[in-house]
Amino acid sequence: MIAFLSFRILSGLRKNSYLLFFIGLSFMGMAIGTASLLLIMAFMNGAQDMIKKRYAASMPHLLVQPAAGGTLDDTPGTLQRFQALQGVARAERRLTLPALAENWFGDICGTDGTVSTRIPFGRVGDRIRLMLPVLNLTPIGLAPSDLTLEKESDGGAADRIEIPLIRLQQALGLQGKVSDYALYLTDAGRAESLSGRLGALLPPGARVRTFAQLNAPLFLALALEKWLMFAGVGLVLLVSFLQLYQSFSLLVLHHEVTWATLQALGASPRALHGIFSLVALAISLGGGAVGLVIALLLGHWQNTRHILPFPQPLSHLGYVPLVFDRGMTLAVVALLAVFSLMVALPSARKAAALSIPQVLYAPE
Amino acid sequence: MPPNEPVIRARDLSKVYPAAKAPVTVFSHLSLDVAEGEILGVVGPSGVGKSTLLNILGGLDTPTEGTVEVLGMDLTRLSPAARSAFRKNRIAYVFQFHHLLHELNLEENVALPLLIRGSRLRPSLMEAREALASVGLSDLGSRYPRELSGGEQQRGCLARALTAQPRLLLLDEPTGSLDQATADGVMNVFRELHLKNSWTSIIVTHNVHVSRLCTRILRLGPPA
Repeated sequence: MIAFLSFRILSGLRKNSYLLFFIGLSFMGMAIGTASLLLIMAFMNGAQDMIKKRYAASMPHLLVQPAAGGTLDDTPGTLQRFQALQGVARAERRLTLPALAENWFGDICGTDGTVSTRIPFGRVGDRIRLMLPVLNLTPIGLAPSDLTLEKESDGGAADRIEIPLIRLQQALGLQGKVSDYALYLTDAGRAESLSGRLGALLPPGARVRTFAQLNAPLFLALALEKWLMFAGVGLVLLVSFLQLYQSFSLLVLHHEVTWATLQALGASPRALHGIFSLVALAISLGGGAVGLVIALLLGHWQNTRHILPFPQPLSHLGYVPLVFDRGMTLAVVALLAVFSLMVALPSARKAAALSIPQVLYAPE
Repeated sequence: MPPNEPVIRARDLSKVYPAAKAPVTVFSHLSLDVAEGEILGVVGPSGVGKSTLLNILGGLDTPTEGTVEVLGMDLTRLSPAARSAFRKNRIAYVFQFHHLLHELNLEENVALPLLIRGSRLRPSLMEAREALASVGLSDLGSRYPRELSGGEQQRGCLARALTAQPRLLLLDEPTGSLDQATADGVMNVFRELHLKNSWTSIIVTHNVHVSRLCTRILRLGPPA
């Protein structure tokens, strides 16, 4: 009965242009709101994927570090055991510490893979003097170490000086010491499972951290940004539901006789709530379905024809891919359903509270 | 309900409406019994509370004082939801202005009491067709209320009452908006259905022809 009457009330709206206009506005609001929400979320997904891929390409996926800070003893065979693990594309030892030069602050990093001293500022051949947070005992007491390097090549990150590991160990008197082992995997997504298998291979006093753990603050910030956008753009839907609430108030008024007659025939307040809920769900989920189609079509065009390209100075990538995920779509559908039920309840209560005699009987 | 018990037993009914200057008493200390199979006519001048009494007896309204037992159930003690459930299974109405839902065609309107009780659509529509045939409207089932004449709408209301299979039928000025010939036609259909279905009926009317159908007349006058 509830589904049948809801359908008939909805189809009967065609004959009431006044109500149809207001409910049509709500429907359009749902469609536009849903499309905006899904597109924004898809954009955020695409942008986050891009950022994570960039990070995954340039950062180690697993890092074996001293659990209590400081350095690890580079025991013979450790690196080879890491390299022999299935799924590990490359492993290297690193010795990293902060460094200060004139007008520059960053890290100096000695790695196995580095063959020349790469300094991100100055010209090749320049000699650069760095201050390091390693204290040396001098005739006048403890003093920070300094290290003079000759720039052999350009490139590298702006905040990092790269140098062969052995050269840095010798310069600092830290032979046989490393600050971590960096493992690059064939598939960054396997970092979590591989970290579990590393336990038996770890040097004493070492722990392993995954790519996700190392970048947890960044990934958390990205996730927060995404859900804040969801909440912000979700306000469009909220406005549409306020519009629907207004339309339902009109529906109660315009169909007073329908609600009163149904109750006179024995329909319970719960049945009226069911009718309002189904009508609200039909409008919001109908609008949501239109919005979903719009979003998917625009997403398809963006991903295949790049209808919204990135400005070239911003990125070497031509466009941000739109990535839709099922959880996000379900979240939007759930939002629509919850709001629908919230809108339906007060309207159904109003309809159930109508005085049947006053509505159905002309005063004597 | 024990045998020979009245279908309706109302005691000391009063209805008072609050008003800005002074409360308006529609009727007070009204008691009546209605036996099974009776057609009780309620007549009287406008404003004496005929429709109000009918609403109270049918559970659409509550008295300010007094009790109403219908089929052994004290309606004044029931919650609105319980009164709805009681109406759904035992009481049917024919209103002066028919109140067929304009969103539904005649057949669907007639099937409505069954749908409200939770019956499935298809068998309900089949029963509705039979009911429409009983009131001589078998060809008009697909028409919407606005496409029907006043007499057809009122016969449609009788068909709706018929599908409800009530113990008690309440009719409020069922011919009030009809010409005499049409009114006679509608009431003839009512009389046939009443006898065939052993209803207990209460009719509020101004129409002398209609009141002649009644087995008993309750005359309401202005409150003293």
